[in-house]
Amino acid sequence: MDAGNYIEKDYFVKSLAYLFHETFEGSPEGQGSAYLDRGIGIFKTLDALSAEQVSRESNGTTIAAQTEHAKFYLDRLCEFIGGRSEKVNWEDSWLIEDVSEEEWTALRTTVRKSYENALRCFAENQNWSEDNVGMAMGMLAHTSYHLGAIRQIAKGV
Amino acid sequence: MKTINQDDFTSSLFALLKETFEGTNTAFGTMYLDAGTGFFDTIDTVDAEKASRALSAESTTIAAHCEHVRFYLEFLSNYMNENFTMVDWKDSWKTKTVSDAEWTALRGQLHKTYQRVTDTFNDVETWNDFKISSALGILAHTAYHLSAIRQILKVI
Repeated sequence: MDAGNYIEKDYFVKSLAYLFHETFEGSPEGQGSAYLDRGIGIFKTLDALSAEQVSRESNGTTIAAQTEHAKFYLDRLCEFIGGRSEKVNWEDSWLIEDVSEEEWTALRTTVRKSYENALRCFAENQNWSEDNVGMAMGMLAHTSYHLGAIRQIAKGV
Repeated sequence: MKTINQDDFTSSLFALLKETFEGTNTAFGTMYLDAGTGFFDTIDTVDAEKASRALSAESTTIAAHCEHVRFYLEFLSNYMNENFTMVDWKDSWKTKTVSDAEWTALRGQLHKTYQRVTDTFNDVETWNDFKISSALGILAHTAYHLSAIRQILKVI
Protein backbone atom coordinates (compact mmCIF):
# COMPACT_ATOMS: atom_id res chain seq x y z
CA MET A 1 0.00 0.00 0.00
CA ASP A 2 1.37 3.39 -0.95
CA ALA A 3 1.11 5.41 2.27
CA GLY A 4 0.87 8.65 0.30
CA ASN A 5 -2.44 7.66 -1.26
CA TYR A 6 -4.30 6.86 1.94
CA ILE A 7 -5.18 8.72 5.08
CA GLU A 8 -5.67 7.21 8.49
CA LYS A 9 -9.37 6.70 9.16
CA ASP A 10 -8.81 7.73 12.78
CA TYR A 11 -7.41 11.09 11.70
CA PHE A 12 -10.54 11.81 9.70
CA VAL A 13 -13.02 10.54 12.28
CA LYS A 14 -11.31 12.29 15.20
CA SER A 15 -11.05 15.58 13.31
CA LEU A 16 -14.68 15.36 12.32
CA ALA A 17 -15.72 14.54 15.90
CA TYR A 18 -13.69 17.48 17.22
CA LEU A 19 -15.40 19.91 14.84
CA PHE A 20 -18.80 18.39 15.61
CA HIS A 21 -18.16 18.73 19.33
CA GLU A 22 -17.33 22.41 18.89
CA THR A 23 -20.35 23.01 16.67
CA PHE A 24 -22.79 21.46 19.13
CA GLU A 25 -21.20 21.79 22.55
CA GLY A 26 -18.88 24.76 21.97
CA SER A 27 -15.10 24.69 22.09
CA PRO A 28 -13.65 22.85 25.09
CA GLU A 29 -12.26 24.97 27.92
CA GLY A 30 -8.48 25.19 27.86
CA GLN A 31 -8.22 24.23 24.21
CA GLY A 32 -8.15 26.37 21.12
CA SER A 33 -11.35 26.70 19.16
CA ALA A 34 -11.34 25.70 15.52
CA TYR A 35 -13.85 28.20 14.23
CA LEU A 36 -16.38 29.40 16.83
CA ASP A 37 -16.09 31.92 19.63
CA ARG A 38 -16.49 30.39 23.07
CA GLY A 39 -19.97 29.53 24.28
CA ILE A 40 -21.79 29.71 20.97
CA GLY A 41 -22.35 26.08 20.08
CA ILE A 42 -25.80 24.88 19.09
CA PHE A 43 -26.87 23.67 22.52
CA LYS A 44 -26.04 26.91 24.36
CA THR A 45 -27.60 28.93 21.56
CA LEU A 46 -30.86 26.96 21.58
CA ASP A 47 -31.05 26.67 25.36
CA ALA A 48 -31.04 30.45 25.65
CA LEU A 49 -34.19 30.77 23.54
CA SER A 50 -37.83 30.27 24.53
CA ALA A 51 -40.46 28.46 22.48
CA GLU A 52 -42.05 31.81 21.77
CA GLN A 53 -38.79 33.26 20.43
CA VAL A 54 -38.00 30.29 18.21
CA SER A 55 -41.52 30.33 16.81
CA ARG A 56 -41.38 33.99 15.83
CA GLU A 57 -41.28 34.40 12.07
CA SER A 58 -38.20 36.16 10.72
CA ASN A 59 -38.17 36.81 6.99
CA GLY A 60 -39.85 33.58 6.04
CA THR A 61 -38.31 31.26 8.58
CA THR A 62 -38.18 30.51 12.29
CA ILE A 63 -35.44 29.18 14.55
CA ALA A 64 -37.64 26.16 15.28
CA ALA A 65 -37.82 25.46 11.53
CA GLN A 66 -34.05 25.84 11.12
CA THR A 67 -33.45 23.54 14.09
CA GLU A 68 -35.76 20.79 12.86
CA HIS A 69 -34.30 21.04 9.34
CA ALA A 70 -30.71 20.74 10.62
CA LYS A 71 -31.68 17.75 12.78
CA PHE A 72 -33.57 16.06 9.92
CA TYR A 73 -30.53 16.43 7.63
CA LEU A 74 -28.23 14.86 10.23
CA ASP A 75 -30.57 11.92 10.77
CA ARG A 76 -31.07 11.18 7.08
CA LEU A 77 -27.37 11.46 6.19
CA CYS A 78 -26.49 9.09 9.02
CA GLU A 79 -28.98 6.68 7.48
CA PHE A 80 -27.38 7.09 4.06
CA ILE A 81 -23.92 6.46 5.52
CA GLY A 82 -25.40 3.37 7.13
CA GLY A 83 -26.60 2.10 3.77
CA ARG A 84 -30.01 3.68 3.20
CA SER A 85 -30.89 3.78 -0.49
CA GLU A 86 -34.48 4.98 -0.27
CA LYS A 87 -34.95 8.59 -1.39
CA VAL A 88 -35.80 11.31 1.10
CA ASN A 89 -38.53 13.89 0.70
CA TRP A 90 -36.55 16.93 1.84
CA GLU A 91 -39.71 19.01 2.11
CA ASP A 92 -40.47 16.97 5.22
CA SER A 93 -37.52 18.65 6.89
CA TRP A 94 -39.39 21.96 6.86
CA LEU A 95 -42.70 20.82 8.33
CA ILE A 96 -42.17 22.44 11.73
CA GLU A 97 -42.63 26.20 11.92
CA ASP A 98 -43.63 26.92 15.50
CA VAL A 99 -43.47 25.00 18.75
CA SER A 100 -45.07 24.98 22.18
CA GLU A 101 -42.76 24.98 25.24
CA GLU A 102 -43.20 21.22 25.45
CA GLU A 103 -42.42 20.74 21.77
CA TRP A 104 -39.39 22.99 22.02
CA THR A 105 -38.00 20.96 24.93
CA ALA A 106 -38.65 17.77 22.96
CA LEU A 107 -37.03 19.16 19.82
CA ARG A 108 -33.88 20.19 21.70
CA THR A 109 -33.69 16.71 23.21
CA THR A 110 -33.92 15.10 19.78
CA VAL A 111 -31.18 17.42 18.48
CA ARG A 112 -28.90 16.12 21.22
CA LYS A 113 -29.80 12.54 20.30
CA SER A 114 -29.13 13.23 16.62
CA TYR A 115 -25.73 14.70 17.49
CA GLU A 116 -24.83 11.67 19.61
CA ASN A 117 -26.11 9.38 16.88
CA ALA A 118 -23.96 11.18 14.30
CA LEU A 119 -20.83 10.74 16.43
CA ARG A 120 -21.67 7.06 16.85
CA CYS A 121 -22.31 6.75 13.11
CA PHE A 122 -18.85 8.19 12.36
CA ALA A 123 -17.09 6.06 14.97
CA GLU A 124 -18.71 2.80 13.92
CA ASN A 125 -18.76 3.26 10.16
CA GLN A 126 -16.47 0.83 8.36
CA ASN A 127 -17.17 1.97 4.82
CA TRP A 128 -15.53 5.32 4.16
CA SER A 129 -16.29 5.51 0.46
CA GLU A 130 -16.11 8.82 -1.41
CA ASP A 131 -19.87 9.30 -0.94
CA ASN A 132 -19.72 8.62 2.79
CA VAL A 133 -16.73 10.90 3.33
CA GLY A 134 -18.56 13.65 1.42
CA MET A 135 -21.77 13.17 3.37
CA ALA A 136 -19.96 13.30 6.71
CA MET A 137 -18.26 16.57 5.76
CA GLY A 138 -21.55 17.84 4.34
CA MET A 139 -23.17 17.21 7.73
CA LEU A 140 -20.59 19.47 9.34
CA ALA A 141 -20.94 22.22 6.74
CA HIS A 142 -24.75 22.05 6.80
CA THR A 143 -24.95 22.22 10.59
CA SER A 144 -22.47 25.13 10.72
CA TYR A 145 -24.50 26.90 8.06
CA HIS A 146 -27.74 26.65 10.03
CA LEU A 147 -26.03 27.56 13.30
CA GLY A 148 -24.91 30.76 11.56
CA ALA A 149 -28.49 31.43 10.46
CA ILE A 150 -29.96 30.66 13.88
CA ARG A 151 -27.56 32.97 15.69
CA GLN A 152 -28.25 35.76 13.22
CA ILE A 153 -32.03 35.32 13.49
CA ALA A 154 -31.75 35.17 17.30
CA LYS A 155 -30.46 38.75 17.33
CA GLY A 156 -33.83 39.95 16.15
CA VAL A 157 -36.40 37.71 17.87
CA MET B 1 -10.93 -0.54 7.18
CA LYS B 2 -8.26 1.57 8.85
CA THR B 3 -7.57 3.90 5.97
CA ILE B 4 -9.48 6.13 3.59
CA ASN B 5 -8.48 6.58 -0.01
CA GLN B 6 -6.96 10.05 -0.13
CA ASP B 7 -8.57 10.79 -3.49
CA ASP B 8 -12.00 10.02 -2.00
CA PHE B 9 -11.31 12.51 0.79
CA THR B 10 -9.90 15.27 -1.42
CA SER B 11 -12.58 14.99 -4.11
CA SER B 12 -15.29 15.43 -1.47
CA LEU B 13 -13.39 18.25 0.20
CA PHE B 14 -12.93 20.13 -3.08
CA ALA B 15 -16.56 19.59 -4.07
CA LEU B 16 -17.76 21.04 -0.76
CA LEU B 17 -15.27 23.90 -0.86
CA LYS B 18 -16.36 24.75 -4.40
CA GLU B 19 -20.03 24.57 -3.47
CA THR B 20 -19.46 26.83 -0.46
CA PHE B 21 -17.64 29.51 -2.43
CA GLU B 22 -18.85 29.14 -5.99
CA GLY B 23 -22.23 27.55 -5.33
CA THR B 24 -22.00 25.55 -8.50
CA ASN B 25 -23.83 22.34 -9.03
CA THR B 26 -21.83 19.17 -9.28
CA ALA B 27 -23.00 16.29 -11.44
CA PHE B 28 -24.87 15.07 -8.36
CA GLY B 29 -26.45 18.39 -7.45
CA THR B 30 -25.47 20.37 -4.40
CA MET B 31 -24.54 18.67 -1.16
CA TYR B 32 -25.85 21.18 1.35
CA LEU B 33 -26.68 24.52 -0.25
CA ASP B 34 -29.48 25.51 -2.55
CA ALA B 35 -28.16 26.14 -6.05
CA GLY B 36 -26.86 29.67 -6.61
CA THR B 37 -26.36 30.52 -2.94
CA GLY B 38 -22.59 30.16 -2.63
CA PHE B 39 -20.38 32.82 -1.07
CA PHE B 40 -19.50 34.61 -4.31
CA ASP B 41 -23.03 34.29 -5.72
CA THR B 42 -24.22 35.99 -2.56
CA ILE B 43 -21.79 38.86 -2.16
CA ASP B 44 -21.68 39.70 -5.86
CA THR B 45 -25.32 40.80 -5.59
CA VAL B 46 -24.43 43.30 -2.86
CA ASP B 47 -23.11 46.81 -3.43
CA ALA B 48 -20.73 48.68 -1.11
CA GLU B 49 -23.53 50.69 0.47
CA LYS B 50 -25.50 47.59 1.36
CA ALA B 51 -22.38 45.74 2.52
CA SER B 52 -21.69 48.64 4.89
CA ARG B 53 -25.20 48.92 6.29
CA ALA B 54 -25.67 47.93 9.94
CA LEU B 55 -29.05 47.27 11.51
CA SER B 56 -27.89 48.94 14.70
CA ALA B 57 -24.68 50.36 16.15
CA GLU B 58 -23.77 46.92 17.53
CA SER B 59 -24.70 44.97 14.40
CA THR B 60 -22.13 43.41 12.13
CA THR B 61 -22.06 44.45 8.51
CA ILE B 62 -21.67 42.14 5.52
CA ALA B 63 -18.34 43.84 4.79
CA ALA B 64 -17.19 42.93 8.31
CA HIS B 65 -18.21 39.29 7.85
CA CYS B 66 -16.38 39.16 4.50
CA GLU B 67 -13.13 40.58 5.86
CA HIS B 68 -13.34 38.23 8.86
CA VAL B 69 -13.79 35.23 6.55
CA ARG B 70 -10.86 36.37 4.39
CA PHE B 71 -8.66 36.86 7.46
CA TYR B 72 -9.51 33.37 8.77
CA LEU B 73 -8.82 31.78 5.37
CA GLU B 74 -5.45 33.50 5.16
CA PHE B 75 -4.50 32.47 8.69
CA LEU B 76 -5.50 28.82 8.19
CA SER B 77 -3.79 28.71 4.82
CA ASN B 78 -0.59 30.00 6.43
CA TYR B 79 -1.05 27.55 9.29
CA MET B 80 -1.40 24.62 6.92
CA ASN B 81 1.80 25.80 5.22
CA GLU B 82 3.47 25.71 8.64
CA ASN B 83 3.65 29.45 9.02
CA PHE B 84 2.55 29.71 12.65
CA THR B 85 2.72 33.51 12.98
CA MET B 86 0.24 34.53 15.65
CA VAL B 87 -2.45 37.04 14.79
CA ASP B 88 -4.72 39.25 16.82
CA TRP B 89 -8.19 38.02 15.94
CA LYS B 90 -9.64 41.41 16.81
CA ASP B 91 -7.93 42.63 13.65
CA SER B 92 -10.21 40.38 11.62
CA TRP B 93 -13.18 42.57 12.61
CA LYS B 94 -11.63 45.96 11.91
CA THR B 95 -13.41 46.52 8.62
CA LYS B 96 -16.93 47.78 9.11
CA THR B 97 -17.75 49.92 6.12
CA VAL B 98 -16.35 50.01 2.61
CA SER B 99 -16.31 52.42 -0.33
CA ASP B 100 -17.09 51.07 -3.80
CA ALA B 101 -13.36 50.70 -4.50
CA GLU B 102 -12.74 48.99 -1.16
CA TRP B 103 -15.64 46.59 -1.70
CA THR B 104 -14.34 45.63 -5.13
CA ALA B 105 -10.88 45.14 -3.64
CA LEU B 106 -12.20 43.06 -0.73
CA ARG B 107 -14.12 40.75 -3.05
CA GLY B 108 -11.01 40.43 -5.22
CA GLN B 109 -8.94 39.52 -2.17
CA LEU B 110 -11.52 36.92 -1.18
CA HIS B 111 -11.22 35.30 -4.61
CA LYS B 112 -7.43 35.30 -4.34
CA THR B 113 -7.46 33.88 -0.81
CA TYR B 114 -9.93 31.18 -1.85
CA GLN B 115 -7.56 30.29 -4.71
CA ARG B 116 -4.67 30.18 -2.23
CA VAL B 117 -6.62 27.80 0.00
CA THR B 118 -7.34 25.60 -3.01
CA ASP B 119 -3.64 25.62 -3.92
CA THR B 120 -2.73 24.80 -0.32
CA PHE B 121 -5.09 21.83 -0.30
CA ASN B 122 -3.72 20.67 -3.66
CA ASP B 123 -0.17 20.82 -2.32
CA VAL B 124 -0.84 18.59 0.67
CA GLU B 125 0.95 15.30 0.20
CA THR B 126 -0.11 13.66 3.43
CA TRP B 127 -3.37 14.53 5.11
CA ASN B 128 -2.62 14.19 8.83
CA ASP B 129 -5.07 15.10 11.61
CA PHE B 130 -3.81 18.69 11.81
CA LYS B 131 -4.36 19.29 8.11
CA ILE B 132 -7.73 17.53 8.04
CA SER B 133 -8.95 19.58 11.03
CA SER B 134 -7.76 22.80 9.42
CA ALA B 135 -9.58 22.00 6.17
CA LEU B 136 -12.78 21.10 8.03
CA GLY B 137 -12.48 24.31 10.03
CA ILE B 138 -12.28 26.33 6.83
CA LEU B 139 -15.39 24.63 5.53
CA ALA B 140 -17.40 25.04 8.74
CA HIS B 141 -16.30 28.63 9.36
CA THR B 142 -17.13 29.80 5.84
CA ALA B 143 -20.51 28.03 5.89
CA TYR B 144 -21.33 29.67 9.23
CA HIS B 145 -20.60 33.20 7.98
CA LEU B 146 -22.20 32.62 4.58
CA SER B 147 -25.44 31.84 6.35
CA ALA B 148 -25.16 34.86 8.62
CA ILE B 149 -24.57 37.08 5.56
CA ARG B 150 -27.60 35.61 3.79
CA GLN B 151 -29.78 36.29 6.82
CA ILE B 152 -28.52 39.88 7.09
CA LEU B 153 -29.31 40.39 3.41
CA LYS B 154 -32.96 39.63 4.09
CA VAL B 155 -33.32 42.57 6.42
CA ILE B 156 -31.07 45.37 5.15
